[in-house]
Amino acid sequence: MKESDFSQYKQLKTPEEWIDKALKIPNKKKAPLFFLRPAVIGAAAALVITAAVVLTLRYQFGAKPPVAPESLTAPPSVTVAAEESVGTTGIAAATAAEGGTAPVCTGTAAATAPEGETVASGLPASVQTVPKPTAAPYTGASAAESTAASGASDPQPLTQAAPTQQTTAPVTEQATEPVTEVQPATEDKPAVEVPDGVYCGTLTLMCPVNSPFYQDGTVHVRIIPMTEEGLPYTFPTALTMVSDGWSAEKAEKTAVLDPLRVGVELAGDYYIVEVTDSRGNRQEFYAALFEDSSFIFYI
Amino acid sequence: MKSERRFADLSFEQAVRKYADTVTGVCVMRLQNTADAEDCFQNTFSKLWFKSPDFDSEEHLKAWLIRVAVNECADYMRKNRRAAVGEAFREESVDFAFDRSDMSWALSRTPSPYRDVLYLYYCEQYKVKEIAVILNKKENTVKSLLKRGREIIRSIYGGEER
Repeated sequence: MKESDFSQYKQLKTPEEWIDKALKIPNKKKAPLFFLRPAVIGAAAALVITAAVVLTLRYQFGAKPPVAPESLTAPPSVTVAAEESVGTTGIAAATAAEGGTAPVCTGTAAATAPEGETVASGLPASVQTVPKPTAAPYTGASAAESTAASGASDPQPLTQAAPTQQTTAPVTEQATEPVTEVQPATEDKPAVEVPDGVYCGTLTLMCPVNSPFYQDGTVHVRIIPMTEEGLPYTFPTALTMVSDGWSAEKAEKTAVLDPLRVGVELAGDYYIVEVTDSRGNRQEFYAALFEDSSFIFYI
Repeated sequence: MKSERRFADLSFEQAVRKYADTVTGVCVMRLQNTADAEDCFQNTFSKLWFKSPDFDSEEHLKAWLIRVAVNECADYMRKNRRAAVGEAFREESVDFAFDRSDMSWALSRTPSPYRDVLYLYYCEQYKVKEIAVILNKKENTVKSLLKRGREIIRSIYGGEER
C-alpha cells in the first residue's frame, strides 16, 4: 500500500467559505450558560416569588382563628372514660352513712348503692352520658318483666328497711365510645344536647366534697318528663327518691339510679332531673335521657 | 483580542488556514458528507478559539485539532443517531466521488476504527505511537487496527493489494 494511493484524500481542499466562516468565530460571543439566560433567570425568580407568596398566604390564613368570647365563657366540658363498678339496684339515691342507714323510700323502690363505687373528683357540675357499648337496647318491657328477666329481686316496698342484697352483678365494663356531653341546665334555657343513638340506663349522681349536697346524707331525686314543646309537667310515674347511703369513706359521694327498675321508661324525651336535700339545696338538670345509657350528674 | 490570542505562535487565522485541510480531511473521512463535515469543521475551530488551550508546538496543535475533529464527528454521529445504522449511514452519506482507482475509495468503505488509523497513518503520515496518542489507544491496538485495516482494503479490491 503506497502513500500516494490516498491522493484524493490528501488533495482534499477545504472550501474557502468554510475557512471564512471559521475566521468569523472570534467575532461570535460564546453562548452563555443556560442558567445565565434571561428566560431561565426570570423563570427562577418567578418561581421563588410565587413560593414566597404562597407560603406567606398559607401562614396568614392557615393560622388558627381566635377563640370566640362565648366559647371562652361556656361551661367546661368533661370527658369521662367511665369505668363503672357500680351495682345498680334500682332507681334510688344512696345514703352514705357508715354502718348503713335505713332507707327512707318515698317512691316505688329504694336500693342501696354499694360501696366501692367509682367516682370522679373535682369535676364541675355537668351532665354526661356514657354509652354502654355492650348493653342491649330496651325492648319496652315493663319494669317487672325487666326485673324478672334480669334475675333481680323485686323492688322493695317503700316502707321496707334498706335491702343490703345486691340485685345485680357489679358492672365492670369500660366505656369505649366517646362520651356525649349534655350541657348543664341554666335558668335561661335548657342547654340540652341530644345525642344520636345514645341510650340511657342509669343515672349516677356524683357529689364532690365542696358540693352543698355533700353534708347531707340524703338526696331526693325526681325525674320529670317534658313534653315535646318543652313545657315541664309532672309525669304520673315520676318518682321522688331518697338515697339510702353515701360512700362516706370516699372523697366524693355517689348514688346510682336505675329508672327502668322502678317503671320509669326513658324514651329519649327531655327530662328534668331535680336533686334536692333536706338542707334546702336544689339542683336541676335538663337532659335527654335514653334507655341503656349511663348519665353522670355532678351535683 | 483577536490578535492577542496565539496558538503555538500562530494567530487564529493562521492556524485555521494552515490546518483547515487536515481538519476537513478528518471530517470528510469520518462523516463522508459535505454538510455534516462542515458542521464539525466549524465546531472544531470554535473549540480552538473558545477553549484556547496552550500548545507546545504546531505539531501539538495539529494533533489536538485532529483529536477534536474525530471526537466532534463521533458526537455528531451520535447526536444524529446515524451511527446506529452503521454501514447504511456510510453508504448514504458518501457524496464524495472518489475514484475507484484511488485507495481513498476503499478507505471510505472501511469500518470506522480501521479507517481512522489508516487515514492518520497513510494520509497524515503519523507514526503508530503518535496515532496511539491522538486516538487515545494503545500502540498494539493501533498496530492491530492497521493490520486488520489493510486486510479489509485488500478484501475490498478482491484480495489484490494495489
